[in-house]
Amino acid sequence: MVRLIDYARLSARQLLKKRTRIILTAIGIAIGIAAVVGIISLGEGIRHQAIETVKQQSDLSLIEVTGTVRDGTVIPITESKVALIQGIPHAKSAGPVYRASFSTLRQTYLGVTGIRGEDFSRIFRPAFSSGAFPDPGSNNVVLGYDVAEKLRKYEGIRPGDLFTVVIRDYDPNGAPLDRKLAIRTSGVLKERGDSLDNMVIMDFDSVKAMSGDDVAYNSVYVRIDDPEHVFSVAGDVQSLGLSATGAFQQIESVNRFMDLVILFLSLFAAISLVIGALMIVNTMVMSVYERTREIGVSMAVGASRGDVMTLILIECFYIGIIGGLLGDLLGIAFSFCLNTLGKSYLMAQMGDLFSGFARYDLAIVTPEILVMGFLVAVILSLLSGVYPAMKAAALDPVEAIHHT
Amino acid sequence: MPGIIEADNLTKTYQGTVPALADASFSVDKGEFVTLIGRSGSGKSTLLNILGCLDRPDSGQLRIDGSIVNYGDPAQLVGIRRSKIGFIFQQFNLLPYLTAQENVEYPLLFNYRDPETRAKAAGELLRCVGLFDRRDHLPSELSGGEQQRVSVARALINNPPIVFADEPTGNLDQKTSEDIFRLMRSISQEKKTTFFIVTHERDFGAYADRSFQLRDGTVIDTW
Repeated sequence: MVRLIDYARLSARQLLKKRTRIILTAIGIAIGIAAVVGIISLGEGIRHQAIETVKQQSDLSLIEVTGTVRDGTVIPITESKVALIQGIPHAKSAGPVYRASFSTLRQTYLGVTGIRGEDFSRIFRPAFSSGAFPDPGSNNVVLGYDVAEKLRKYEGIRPGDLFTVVIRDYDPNGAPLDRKLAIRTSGVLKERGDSLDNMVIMDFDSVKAMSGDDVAYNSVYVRIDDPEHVFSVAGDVQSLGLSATGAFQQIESVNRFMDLVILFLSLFAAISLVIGALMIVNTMVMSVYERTREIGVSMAVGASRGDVMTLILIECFYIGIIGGLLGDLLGIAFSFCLNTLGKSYLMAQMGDLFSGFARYDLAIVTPEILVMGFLVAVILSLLSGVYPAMKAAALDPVEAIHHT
Repeated sequence: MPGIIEADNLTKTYQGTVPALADASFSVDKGEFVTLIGRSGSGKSTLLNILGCLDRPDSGQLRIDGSIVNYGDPAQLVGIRRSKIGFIFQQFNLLPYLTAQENVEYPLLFNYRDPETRAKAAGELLRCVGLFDRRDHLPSELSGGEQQRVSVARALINNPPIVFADEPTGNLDQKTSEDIFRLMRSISQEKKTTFFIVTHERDFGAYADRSFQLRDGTVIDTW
């Protein structure tokens, strides 16, 4: 340790002797780091913006669990699976559903969800603009806001009206077998801006009777106590052999997409890092050449080849530290410019469409990005020093001492 | 008693030339002050580099302080250079960005001594060569003679039994050269350090206990 501190001091003296050259070299690496830090910060900013948008527009703490097919075996949702789902930490409530498909006489498709009244109010916390949940066993439906509007506009069906729907079954030969059913709208929900607006809700037992399946449910709705836990609950569901869908998947795809975008953009930015690294190699090779005699003398007075390598690598380590710090500072400055000048330019260009950006920063510099930038600078500098250090260590002391 | 340097039939030929060394054999005792005189190009530097474990002979054997030098073992060579040998060069070869004191301390860095020990040892040696007051000067602020004194102190910092000097007065005037020889001579007597000095100036043979000549690659003991 004493030795490394002494070597570090000696190398620092070397660097101070030619600080202009060293600072120029460090700036080379710093520009590369700044580019990478800036690009990643911009990517993170866009990711944040996209995820916030998803969060605002969807009900993140709701997931729908469905059965799966694994290795040719159907994994259905049985009562025991529902019990397991209810046991998942952070799953506040779970309600099994049956599904059915109706169409009106004018061919408007209605996907019907059969759910128990208490599950519906616990999981969806619906707000009725009129009416209420249908009585158990009845053929009445609750319409989501959009469905109710559609039926009113195109079919003239209003809340309380009795109307006929067609249910299509198939006979044993596979021929369609249509059945007519008179149903009534018992309630209409207020507009929510999520998937509930497009749902048609019926009583659980009524749809179950239509489906004729007593063993397996079509799916289970699960309400999670906090959107933060949606990914862990979805993971637990998957480990039960079932599949989980929901708005959280949009976040997953946003993340996957942004990971790729950031990766590709960083690769381009990394080209400048390569140039920075080559600058270090060049500077250090020159430095080794200029110090040939000094290295020879050091060997004559007892420095091993390892000592010589260490001394050169410590110099590169310093260049990395300077380059990393400068690069982080430049990256912060770059992001700051994006968030002030860049953002107002973008909003002026895009108009109202991007007014959402006003509340968010375009680029988000996180401590992780800065630490990463710093480490990349240091590691890259050390790697760039390996060749010059090996060259120095391989010098023949006799020739080196007489080098002019 | 075996000598501190024992050379047996050292031979070294550079490609396509006459042998620089041909079966050079000699022995130097501990504390001896020896000069090696020869014309330029007679192989003096080659011999010094081999004795100093910087270069390897084509054949022959060398013992330094009782142990046979294995030129294929870099760790042993480094170890010998660190603890058995000090070097004085014609060009002084001080590091320009280090002060006199730091230059003297420099070899201790590779011997892993702590800063206090280094400073103390360097201070004593600088006092011994008469430059303690100038310890904070850079080499560029010192005269040639002063730089060579610093270099002598540096050669002694590891307390080696042997100091090799390659034309130590080649860049100095007559008066300063005599001062340096007297300094080395007195240190040799005081510390019982063996000095092996290569020079082309016969006059300085007068300071020596023994003087060798290198002729046709062979070492001849002149007295």
